[in-house]
Amino acid sequence: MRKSKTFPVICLITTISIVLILAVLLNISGLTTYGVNELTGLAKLFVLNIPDPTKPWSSHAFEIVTAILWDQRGLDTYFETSVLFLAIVASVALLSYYGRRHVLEGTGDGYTTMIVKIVTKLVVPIIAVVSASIAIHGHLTPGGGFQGGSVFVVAPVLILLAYGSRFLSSRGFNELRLLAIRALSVTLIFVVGLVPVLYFLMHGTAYLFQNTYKPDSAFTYPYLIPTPIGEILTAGSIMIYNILEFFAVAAGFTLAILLLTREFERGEKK
Amino acid sequence: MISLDGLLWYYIVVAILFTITCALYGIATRPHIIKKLVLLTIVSDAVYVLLVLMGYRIGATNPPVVPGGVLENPVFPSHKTIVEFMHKVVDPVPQVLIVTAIVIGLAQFVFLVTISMHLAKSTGSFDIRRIEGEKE
Repeated sequence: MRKSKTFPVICLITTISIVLILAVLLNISGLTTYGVNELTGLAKLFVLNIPDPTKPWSSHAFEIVTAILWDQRGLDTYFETSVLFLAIVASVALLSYYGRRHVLEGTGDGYTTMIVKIVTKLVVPIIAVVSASIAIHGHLTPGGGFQGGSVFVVAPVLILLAYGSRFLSSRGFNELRLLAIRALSVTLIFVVGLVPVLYFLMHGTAYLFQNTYKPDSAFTYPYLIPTPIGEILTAGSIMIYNILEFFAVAAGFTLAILLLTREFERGEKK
Repeated sequence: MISLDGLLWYYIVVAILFTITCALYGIATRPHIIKKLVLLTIVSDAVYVLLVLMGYRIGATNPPVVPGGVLENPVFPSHKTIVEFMHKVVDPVPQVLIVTAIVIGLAQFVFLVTISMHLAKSTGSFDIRRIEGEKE
């Protein structure tokens, strides 16, 4: 099939028809029609309830996207995190196995000039601080655990390109430690979601992945913590989830990229 | 009579659909695995942009973040503020889907890169035609 001259034409016709069907469906459903100025009912429900502490389904958070992710549909997000975890574990399983670890030590010393090395040295701390800020303020400003973790991964990529994988491994970022951080974070996310169930078994009604109090449940994570400098807003468990997710995503992708870089360096040496 | 804004809107929609067409065609016909992966990311990114576009509302000026959020001594907004805010905010639901989709897509991409790298190491080529033995 691939050798025939009609193959590209067939592909072209197929792709164009697929996209045309997509366009017609989008048009019929009105999803891409210009001139919509009303939110959908679901979106209205979220926007009215999440930031308003007087409402029964409030999350006590200012950022609606993160509140939906970790409170309104927290169980979904937990399983998405598990998918991410399994994909990383599968990649790691393909790249290394027990007994070959000592061979997998990095060999590269970086591939770039002095300019890139110095710029990396300057930029990496800034990236780390910004990503931590994105994750910690996830319930207040745009951002959250996923986003902060993804931003953080840029720092190891820069270090790997500028200095090689041995630099990163010699400073404690070895694969076992990263995998441990990853697994521990995902487990802790589940434990935090499971605490309401323990409350349910001992006292009364509570729901899996429950954040703050509900009309029929008194269980609540503290959302305003009094400290000497004032009351700190944590939005219940959302801040905990964000920080744990930040570590999970950052460690997971750093691990995958570290192993891939080592593989390439080994291939280069042959 | 359609306004300039509407024209621009449909231009963006058509451009995104055109990008998806080109990338799908490339995935089907290019023989190089890395090119296929790059085109796959282009398809997914185009779909994300399309989803963000779907969340836009006429006259929306705010992201779905209630203004005034601070870490220390926050003042929660009143019901009236929130109703006012609701009329100038974009739809948060597509954005929630995209946050998930991006991270899952990235994980999937890492997995695909790993598999292709193993394939290239065992066969010595990234070219599908060579891997299948059609071309020497």
